[in-house]
Amino acid sequence: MTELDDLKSAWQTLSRSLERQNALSFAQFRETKRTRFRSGFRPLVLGQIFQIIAGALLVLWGASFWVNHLGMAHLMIYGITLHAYGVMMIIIAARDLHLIKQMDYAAPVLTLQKQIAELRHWHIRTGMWFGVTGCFIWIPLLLMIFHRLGADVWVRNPAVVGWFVASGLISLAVLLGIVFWSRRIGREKLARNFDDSSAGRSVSRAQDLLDEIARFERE
Amino acid sequence: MHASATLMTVAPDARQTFVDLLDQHAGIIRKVAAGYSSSAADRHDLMQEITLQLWRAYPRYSPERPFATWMYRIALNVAISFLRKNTRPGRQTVPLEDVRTEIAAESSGDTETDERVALLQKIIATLDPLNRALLLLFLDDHSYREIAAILSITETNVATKLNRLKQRLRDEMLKLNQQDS
Repeated sequence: MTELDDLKSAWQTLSRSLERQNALSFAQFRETKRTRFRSGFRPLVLGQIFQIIAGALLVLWGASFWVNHLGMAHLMIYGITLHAYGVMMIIIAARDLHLIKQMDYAAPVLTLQKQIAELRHWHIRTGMWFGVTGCFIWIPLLLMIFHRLGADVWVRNPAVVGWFVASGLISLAVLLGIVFWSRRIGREKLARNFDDSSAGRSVSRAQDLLDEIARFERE
Repeated sequence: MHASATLMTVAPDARQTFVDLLDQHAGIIRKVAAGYSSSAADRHDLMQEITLQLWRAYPRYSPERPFATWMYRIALNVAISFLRKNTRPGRQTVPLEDVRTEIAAESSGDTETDERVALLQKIIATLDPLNRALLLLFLDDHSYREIAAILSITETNVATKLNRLKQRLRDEMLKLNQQDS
């Protein structure tokens, strides 16, 4: 046990040295509060609030649109699609906020770390879902704007709608292509940048975190 | 929420109590920060981060619970999140030979002690965030029960993990001693 006792005594030496070097006082803490609160989930919370507002606006617009065009199937589809998308935005943001609200730094370490990992996992999965639906949601939105301007594109030239859908499919294919291509061996840096640029971390990384915690609990 | 907003909601008496408790247990913050950072700048940031989170959580602190345990939970949770946020997943644990840790301690004047402190910091840097927490609690002489309460694992699990960790520490130290000789 001598080696471990050595480590414990080294730890005590380190502690004493840190005490001399890093005097922690309330004065220093008061400095801290002047700086912006960087840690935690503030940006995420603001993002979710913005998402709820945007979702509510889409719900209002979509619902009033399809209610005003009862009996006209294609117009109702535009409105209902947008309505549903808005509801989805609100539900996802509300769940994010609920998960964030549950977080308590005073919770036992594994409990909080698991909650954080689950939040990250959920956030990334929904981010991907938004990516996929985002390839198409602009179509009803654009068609509704055209209708507002007096042009019912579906009635005048249905082929244009077909082109829109084809564009959506191409966008989706490009998006998926980039995701899969970036994950190929030799492009780790690109994949990392891709992951970091949008949802934060990849699903697999969030899953790794959950696995790491589960392993720690189990072993 | 901005920290100053929380600051205003706490009565002056409670504020003084918090400051006193903070001063009394400041060592926990320093040690956890040292265990989860590799440079003086990171250590300073992490200490501030932990203090800020302690202050934000303080209105919900119940005096029936031991302050040190409560403080350890927050400090470790903040430190683990800090490490994960500031380090790429593949770099959270580093092989011993690749560790480039800025030594947190000033020289003790005794070469052997300095070497031991450097070795300890290197060993800490090789561990994943959760095992790092376990080691810090072990080095601070916490009982299995306390460690179990802070980490939320069973006491049996703590014992098993610590035995494994101790063996790993011995192996790492042996490896380093062989490299030196």
